[in-house]
Amino acid sequence: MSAPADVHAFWVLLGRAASQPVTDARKELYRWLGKQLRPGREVELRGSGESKSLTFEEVRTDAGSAARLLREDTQPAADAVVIIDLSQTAYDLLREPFLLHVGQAAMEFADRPERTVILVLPGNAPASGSLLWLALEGGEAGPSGSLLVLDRTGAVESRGAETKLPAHFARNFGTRASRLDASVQDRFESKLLRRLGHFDLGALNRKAGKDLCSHHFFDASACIEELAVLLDRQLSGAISKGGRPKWMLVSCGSRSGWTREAAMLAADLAGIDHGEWPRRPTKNPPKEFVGRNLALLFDVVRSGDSARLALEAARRWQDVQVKLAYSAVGPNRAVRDLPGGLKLQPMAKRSLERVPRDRCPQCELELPFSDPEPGQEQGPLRAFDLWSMLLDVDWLPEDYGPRNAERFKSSPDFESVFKRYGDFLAYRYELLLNDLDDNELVVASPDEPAVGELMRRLSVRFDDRIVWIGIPREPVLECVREDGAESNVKALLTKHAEETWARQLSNVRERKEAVVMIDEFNGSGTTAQSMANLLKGAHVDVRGFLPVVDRRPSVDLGAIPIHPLYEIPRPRR
Amino acid sequence: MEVGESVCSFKGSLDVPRTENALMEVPEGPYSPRRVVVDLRETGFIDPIALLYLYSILVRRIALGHETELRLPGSKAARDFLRAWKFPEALTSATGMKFRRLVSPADHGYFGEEQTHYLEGKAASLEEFLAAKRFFGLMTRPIESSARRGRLVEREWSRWRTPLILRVLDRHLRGDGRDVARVVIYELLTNAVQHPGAGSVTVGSSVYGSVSRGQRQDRAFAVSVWDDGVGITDTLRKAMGAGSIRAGDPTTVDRFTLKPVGWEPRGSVYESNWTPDEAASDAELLLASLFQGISQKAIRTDIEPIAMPGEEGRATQTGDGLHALYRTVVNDFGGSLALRSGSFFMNVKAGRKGDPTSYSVKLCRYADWPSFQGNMITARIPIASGG
Repeated sequence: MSAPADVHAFWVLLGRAASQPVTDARKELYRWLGKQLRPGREVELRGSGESKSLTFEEVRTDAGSAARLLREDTQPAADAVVIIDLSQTAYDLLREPFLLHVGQAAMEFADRPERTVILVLPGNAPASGSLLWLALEGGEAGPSGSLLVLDRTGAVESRGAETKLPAHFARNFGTRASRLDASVQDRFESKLLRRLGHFDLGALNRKAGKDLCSHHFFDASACIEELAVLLDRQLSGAISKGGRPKWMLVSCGSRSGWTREAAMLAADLAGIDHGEWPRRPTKNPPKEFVGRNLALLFDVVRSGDSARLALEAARRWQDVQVKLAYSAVGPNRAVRDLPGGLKLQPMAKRSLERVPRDRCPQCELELPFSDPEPGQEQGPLRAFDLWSMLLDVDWLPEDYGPRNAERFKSSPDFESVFKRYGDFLAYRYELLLNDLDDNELVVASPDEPAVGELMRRLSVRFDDRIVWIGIPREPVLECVREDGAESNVKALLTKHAEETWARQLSNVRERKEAVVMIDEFNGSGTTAQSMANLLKGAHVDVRGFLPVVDRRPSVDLGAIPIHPLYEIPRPRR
Repeated sequence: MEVGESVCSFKGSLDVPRTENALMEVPEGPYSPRRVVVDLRETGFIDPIALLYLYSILVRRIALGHETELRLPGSKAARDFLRAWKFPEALTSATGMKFRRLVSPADHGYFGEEQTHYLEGKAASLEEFLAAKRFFGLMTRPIESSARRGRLVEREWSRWRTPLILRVLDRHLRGDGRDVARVVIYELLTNAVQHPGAGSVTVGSSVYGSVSRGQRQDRAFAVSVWDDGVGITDTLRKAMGAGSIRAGDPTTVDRFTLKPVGWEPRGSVYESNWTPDEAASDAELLLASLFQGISQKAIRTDIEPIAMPGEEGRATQTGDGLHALYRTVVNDFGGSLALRSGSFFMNVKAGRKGDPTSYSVKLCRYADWPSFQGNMITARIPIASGG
């Protein structure tokens, strides 16, 4: 039986200040590629098991660093399948000089007759003028081995020795690679932000004789593209190609600029016109609506009252047909009794509460209304928002925490808080971090399930350009005040040198990047201090400590500023 | 005309040579302390690079406290162009002077005038929307610190990745709209922020067109970046004093056929594997700055005489940035790349048809002219017909 074939994979991530572990699903894709190119042989995955990461600044100031990162690794075996995977990096981050250097490194790897190199690109391949193709021309002879360039659809370009590919290789690769991505629907739903506050639901409801408030306000400005793609799919399914000139997608919901942007983009994608619903009721339709079939897009539909008002107005207009109605966000239950028997199709369904003003607890507490415009929140979370989040989950006895400190008998289940409200908390962190740091975001925290969930939500908010260094609690606790001397930390780092978190810290230190510390709770300050000791001992600069809730213990973090989302000045005993 | 006053009249198309010729009418040059009236009344078409050029001169004059008056174009398209480029806002932001104070009272009808948009059909509404969001126009940003340089590049690059602008670019440009952010914006800015002594960078962009006999003509998308740092030729000359400016060999040899104006080249065609020596003229140095492998930072340790901004001066660079830029702009988008620095103006466009390594370069030297402050590079990309 022949020896296993080596698959040597480099997972290259740009816009990140430290390496990240390669996921099992991605490793599986690499093994699959190896088996396709070395049929009949077992494959063995080589490489560090972590990404090769570069910051935006490194790509800007030193594009050649990419190639050095690839070359510094153990050299692949002479007959290895070498994978250079750029697929998880946004196409627009691939600076041309960077592609040139990666292309040159790929050609060097391919210059062994038995070797196959696969370069996987994100999205579609760059245009013919790209320096990547110049690098891959590589003189008249070309590489002695073979080199394949795949884009995410599986389209193949090849250089050097001929490679026999199995049937349907490209299609199968495209299908498998796409499984690593979230669907458009999932991306839309995870980026959709539900802000907490005290929101006045506005004029349309008042016209219907109702003064209504809501504790939630939705914002899709971070997922306009996803919303537009979902709408385009709906429109393209509902409208025949020949009928498109008669159609117009009309955005309703003037308070949210994102509705208009998404509708404009969706209309352009679907090849129909875009229009705006009139701001005030009009007896006659806007002239661009006349003779048209309209598809309406509402931002958020709760009960359907505002949609009903709009549709009833449209029924009185001559020569205008409203035939389709969508909303970016709609209620979990169907909206009934819309005029003309229309059905409202929400792109995301949510539980949508609203409350008459005379029964609104926030009005009773005389809390001021919140600004519906995102980005205006300043200072800590509102007490009403924090406590409504904490009281919406189970409270459990605290089962982990610092040594020699009192455990809380009952504490909110933060993992559930982050699952339910992580989008909002990530948004509030974004506002804090925008003021604090402009560099690549690296977050260090104890490696615990609750914080891990928060990091997942932060990652979505930050367009996947965040590195989380999750440090297991044991090494954190080894750095408590009395053990936090630099020599002890050095010994600790040596002991754990092969663990991902220690290598990530080493990456950050080498790059002179800074980290922020995040934790759900700052109770006694012990964990924060231990983390600070560990990071200081590792010579990593800490930009700040950002707990969700700070109970303001008397703890000295040196020069590290504390920016909590909320303060309860009652430290843990 | 008042005593001690100069009037610079711009007629027809406002391009760089005409701008400079008009400014040359001012005794003692454009920064003369005498009162200057910049008269654009008979200007029909404004070239973006000329506008940014004029902007740089007006900013300097105002900073020096020299009295200046602006007569606005009589043509509506040209006035729209000023608005589209956010020319008034940029001047106010750079100088603190209200634009109205600069404009002759006879032209105050400009304020409150409605803007015409130049993309047609469905895209017109997208363009209008982007204009309303002030997407296009001029924007000046300080870049004294390393953090600010990085931030400027990343923020401007991010702006060009948003879905609506990508849709407009994809629909109207010959190449991949995503390459505007990835290559054009990125390399223009990366180049500008690395120029020694640069304290600020101005980025300008616009979709523009001129209207002639009811037909829309010359529709193009342009993005221009002006930095106020040391000129490219001076930087290269200084770096050459410390060693070679050749950091690596080109991966492909490009051929540049020259149309020289105001200087004598040593040949009519230059190839990108040529390395300028001490005897090279400034014009040749400017041309060579485009070549792959030519870099002010070829020598990493001994370019001390030049105050390099931050650590970038020490990073390994192989001089690929401008090479990538002209290939994308010319080969992929079918456009041209113009560069203004020192006493030079250079424009690069496609050369022999079907040959991606052939370029035609017009390189003009204005010997009697005060040196242009800083460096300005403009990528001009035609809007595909029917767009």
